[in-house]
Amino acid sequence: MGDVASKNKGKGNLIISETVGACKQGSSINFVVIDNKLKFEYNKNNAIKCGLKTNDDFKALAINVD
Amino acid sequence: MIKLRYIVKTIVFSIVLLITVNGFAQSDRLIRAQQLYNKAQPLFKIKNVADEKNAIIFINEAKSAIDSVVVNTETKADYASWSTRAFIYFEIYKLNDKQKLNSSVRDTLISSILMSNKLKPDADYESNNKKLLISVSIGYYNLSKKLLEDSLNEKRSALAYNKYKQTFLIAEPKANFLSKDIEYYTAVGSFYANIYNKDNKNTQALDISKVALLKVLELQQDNQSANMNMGIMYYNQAVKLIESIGIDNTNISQLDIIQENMVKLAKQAEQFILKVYKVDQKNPKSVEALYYIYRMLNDDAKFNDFKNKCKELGIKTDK
Repeated sequence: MGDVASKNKGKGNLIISETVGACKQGSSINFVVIDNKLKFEYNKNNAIKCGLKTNDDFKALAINVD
Repeated sequence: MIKLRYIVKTIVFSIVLLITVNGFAQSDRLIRAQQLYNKAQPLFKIKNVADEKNAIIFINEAKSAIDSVVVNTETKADYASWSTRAFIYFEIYKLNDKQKLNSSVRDTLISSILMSNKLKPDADYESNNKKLLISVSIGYYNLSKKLLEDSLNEKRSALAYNKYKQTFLIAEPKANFLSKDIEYYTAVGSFYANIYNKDNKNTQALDISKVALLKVLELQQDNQSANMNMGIMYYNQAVKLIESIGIDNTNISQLDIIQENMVKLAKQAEQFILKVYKVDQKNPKSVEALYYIYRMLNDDAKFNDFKNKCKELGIKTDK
């Protein structure tokens, strides 16, 4: 994951994953299942590193914003 | 004086004679009605137009005759008059009113049987009265199925079904309707579940089906068909929710609520389907349904388990 994140730095690519702890390894959005529901974690810093901006509504829906 | 006595005697004699003649006449009319009925009955069975025409003429004449018999004081206290009337009306009912939920002919025939029974008929008449009532009640049952399947008229079907029970109870006061109730409400539930499963916008069908199937489960908790249909309907309700999500028409903040409801519905579906699965773990319908339910619930472990079970049973899935 770290390798993917460094390769995409500043390129405007959104990195999406579905692995526990992926946001800490460079993913911007990480899907997780909690109580049978699909949720997502959002890492704003990783998104910025990729050269992305996100809407506040979107951030409000995430379960874990760093 | 002698003349007056003669006149009075003649009048009294005439009155007695008239009453007797009238009594005999009414008895004759009962016999006549029975003869006409006996003539009509075999002709109805031949199923040819000319014979049926004659049969209708005979039965209508029999009806006129018997209607006068049951209002006459001499003959109205005879159970034979009322039973004969019931049988004559039964033929008319078969001709014109079998498919009618409300039929004055059928009402008359039932009330005639009740009247006959009230007059304490002999064993033969009692047994025939009972057979006739059972035939009429079966007619109501068949009508309830017809109203359901052909006319999609659940309310009228339910009325016909209740009439079936009421009529049958007159014939068999200790009748137990448990198995018939299960049969009828399963039919209603399955019928409307199929309609809903083909068109998940038809919420009326969904409601009718749920009410009927819950009645079945109230009577028989482990009814396979009811559990299966309930489960599939809840699953389809969840699918409908997912289908309602669109890129253009859904507020992103609503997604959580939709997902919450979807999970609730899928869990309800799971409860019902698991009851079927526990009885027969190789039931392909329940295995397939659980595969889709666990996929919806994002339960990877169970999803993979049922994915393998589907493979084992040769069930094709869409993923």
